[in-house]
Amino acid sequence: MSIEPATFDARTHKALADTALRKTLRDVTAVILDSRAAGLARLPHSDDWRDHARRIRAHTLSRLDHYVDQFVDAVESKGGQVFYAGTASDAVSYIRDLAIAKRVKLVAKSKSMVTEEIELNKGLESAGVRVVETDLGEYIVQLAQDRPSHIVMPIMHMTRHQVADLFKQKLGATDEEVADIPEMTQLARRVLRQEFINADMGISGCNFAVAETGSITTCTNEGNGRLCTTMPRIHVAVVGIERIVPTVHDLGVMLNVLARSSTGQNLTVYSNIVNGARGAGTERAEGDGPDEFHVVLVDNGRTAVLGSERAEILYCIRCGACLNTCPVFQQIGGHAYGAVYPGPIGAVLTPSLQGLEHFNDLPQASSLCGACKDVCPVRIDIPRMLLSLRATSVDTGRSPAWVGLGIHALRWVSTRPALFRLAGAAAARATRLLARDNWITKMPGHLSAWTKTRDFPALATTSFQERWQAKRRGAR
Amino acid sequence: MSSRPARVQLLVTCLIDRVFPDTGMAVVTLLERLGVEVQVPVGQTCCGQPAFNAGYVDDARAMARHTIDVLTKTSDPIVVPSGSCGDMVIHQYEAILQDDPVYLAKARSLHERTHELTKFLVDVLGVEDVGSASTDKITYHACCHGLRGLGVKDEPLALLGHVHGATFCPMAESDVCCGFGGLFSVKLPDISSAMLDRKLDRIQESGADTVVVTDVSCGMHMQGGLRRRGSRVQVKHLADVLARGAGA
Amino acid sequence: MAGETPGGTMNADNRTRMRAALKTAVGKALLPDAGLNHPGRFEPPPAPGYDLFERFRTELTKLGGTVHDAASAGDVADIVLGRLANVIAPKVMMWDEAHLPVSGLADALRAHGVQVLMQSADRARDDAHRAELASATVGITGADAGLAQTGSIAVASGPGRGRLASLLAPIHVALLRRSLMFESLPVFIDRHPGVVTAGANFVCITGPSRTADIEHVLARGVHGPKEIHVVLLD
Repeated sequence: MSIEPATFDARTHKALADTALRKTLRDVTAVILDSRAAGLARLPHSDDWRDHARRIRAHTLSRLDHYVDQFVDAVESKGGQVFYAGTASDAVSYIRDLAIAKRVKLVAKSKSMVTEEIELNKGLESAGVRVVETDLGEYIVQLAQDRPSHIVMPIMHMTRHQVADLFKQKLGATDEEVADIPEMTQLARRVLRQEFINADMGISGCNFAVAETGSITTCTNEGNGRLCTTMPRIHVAVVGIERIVPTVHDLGVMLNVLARSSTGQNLTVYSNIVNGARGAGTERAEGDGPDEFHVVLVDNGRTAVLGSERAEILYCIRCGACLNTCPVFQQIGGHAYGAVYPGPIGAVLTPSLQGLEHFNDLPQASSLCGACKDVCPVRIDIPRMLLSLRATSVDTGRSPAWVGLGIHALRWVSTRPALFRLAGAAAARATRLLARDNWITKMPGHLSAWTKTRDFPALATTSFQERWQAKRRGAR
Repeated sequence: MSSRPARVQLLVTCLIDRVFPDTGMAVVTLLERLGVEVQVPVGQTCCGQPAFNAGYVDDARAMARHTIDVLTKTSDPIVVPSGSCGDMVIHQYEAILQDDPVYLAKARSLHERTHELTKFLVDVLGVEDVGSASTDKITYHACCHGLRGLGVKDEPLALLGHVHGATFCPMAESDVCCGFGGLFSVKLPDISSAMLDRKLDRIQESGADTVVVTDVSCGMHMQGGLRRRGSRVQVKHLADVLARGAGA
Repeated sequence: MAGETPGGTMNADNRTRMRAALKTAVGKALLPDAGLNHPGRFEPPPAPGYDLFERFRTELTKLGGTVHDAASAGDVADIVLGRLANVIAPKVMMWDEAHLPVSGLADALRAHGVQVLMQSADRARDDAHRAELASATVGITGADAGLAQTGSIAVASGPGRGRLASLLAPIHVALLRRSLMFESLPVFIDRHPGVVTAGANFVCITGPSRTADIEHVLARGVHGPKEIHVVLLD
């Protein structure tokens, strides 16, 4: 499924023209941000918790080789199977081959960004395996053959009427069944309940993997995360290698800040820790749970990021707070970014994982206001990394020529004060010609982009430094 | 800094120098009224932030070295009436000069003695009432680099709170970016304008006739937009307001 | 088994390559605030004094859950029967009584015409058994802890104490000993880390199932239970 429209500019244009979307974005993000603030306010010493969470993430990544080894050993010692996926296609191949070998016909999936990143569903479907997304928002996205527009709220861009129409069209729902949101939710529950019961394999992501115990954690509100990891006979957890924390105590710290930062809830309804398969055929066999537990460890560019000056982006715990607070995201929404990870986190992560050459626009889509860094539960310095990516754009010849010319000219005159004065005087004369009442309504060239919607100030005939020098000369 | 400095060096910034020189004069008037002698180091141009933000780090370094040369002719404290230029000098210079030991050391020395204007007034001089008066209905926009880069948060509000006769009209979303972002305003003008529209709506809802900022860059973005709307709301740098003496 | 396992050789090659790449990467990673040593346990200052039970009640009620007090199996049965009043041929799914803080609950319910279903580990893959379990109106479990700060309960799985009892039925009734009330999830994990890994699964349940995916409007009882009742017992 290719992205429509194809360019960032076109997608942005489309989003900005969509007044309903922009209103939704503004209203919903405002509510979530308030909830976030309230959620953190309810936690005494929340700043200290966040600082500690940051230190856990930082330390873990500084010894990620050791913690990945520890995690894998722990999983395998309890009978789980681990597959090391260097690339997206490695991961997809393994899961697809496993599904075929185990005669899997139906997969129930809970929400997982990394599975979208590796395009898992497409890979499974091409092998004739049916995949059903069970998170309500993702289920709707799947039915609509759309893409999620937010990492926590996938259908932020859809109205209830659009969902109702979709259910009528794709599920044959009656008017009563889509009369309101609770009704639609119950319809989805009924439909998906059957899928959970019939599914041969459950695939989940992983919010946090615990190295010392070989456990994976899913944090959901609906219960689909629990059902996917309980009912089918095989559970596959897809885990980005950076999702590891060392101990269960560390997990407690991360859980304490995740939901509060994300939706403002104290905890998601289900913080679900999977330690392995149910022990079928042994004396500790449980009444439910999968018979097999597989972990697919996904690299897909993460190690390369770890070895770079953008390693800090791997601290991310996928709470979505940066999206909600970003004034650019609030205007254009998630689809405009054209990537699995949108918003501030995506503007760094996407080009870092998938190549700046494919996503050169994203680091530019920021006024560098820094709001993202303020709200990040682990205090990731996103602006620093956006600037680093911009520098790489310049170094690899991806900055527009006119910008380069302008900057080099600015540098040239700025390192020669006499020329700076002359250039300023010349610019002042030019702008004075265009100005009325000290302001210009139409600038030439690339600066016309400014005057499309704003007046531009004329430069002063006499600069401050010139006045100052004159004042001093006069005083002598 | 334990004692009150008797003299400061003013880093006036390229935009104030060339576009809003009256604001530069207001800064001088204000500091002199508070008993601080102001000198203006010769040869100031641009701190290099536009280059740095656009990813042209070599150009930024060249401009940084020049600015450092200008500012290290004395060891006086430096006052800069801009959060973004202030952040550049105070934080980013060290970051971009890591591989240049000579200038890195100079940048570090600058870090110690460079102050954004409102922080200089409130935290260094210990003043909140600067003896200014106004009949304006004032609202305040918190410029991003000052707010999040330098922690300029309470100081401008404290100073505004002591302007005799002024009415303060709080603005909703006062800490949300106005959409300027430097070259962002012309490279992604549609998004920038959308963000500006939102800011201007909040300004107009506040009922103020004056918007006070601590960065003329953001200021000119908002003023340009207000003018385009036909609005009579004026955007002023905080120094412009504070320089108007109680007797003036 | 190794030869049958998908990904065999690729896995081994990837394992070697990825491990080596990680080792190299951590050597040159720029990681602000990364200490050489693990930062240790987080010890927050002690919480301001509040009654744990009051706090638990407040938090869970805010989320749409209900907290009850009971002293006997009979009390618990009354609570469950209250939720089955209008159900024809009511069924409940229950943990083995050995894992509940009261005994005789199954009999008390049967005496009122309720069918009590127990999970069978041998029939875990039996479709008929699973369909039957899915038809229960109420699921009854114990709980390993109550967590006052968030109104949550923590439940470890095990033989005779499966997950589906707290998951499939639209109503979940959890029986919690009062002596197992803790301040919060991090405090519980710190004091009883072993419970987290005692079974194949450990879940912290905080209120009824919910979603706000559609227009950010709250809807309860999506896939998990619509109602959660926590019954406090001595």
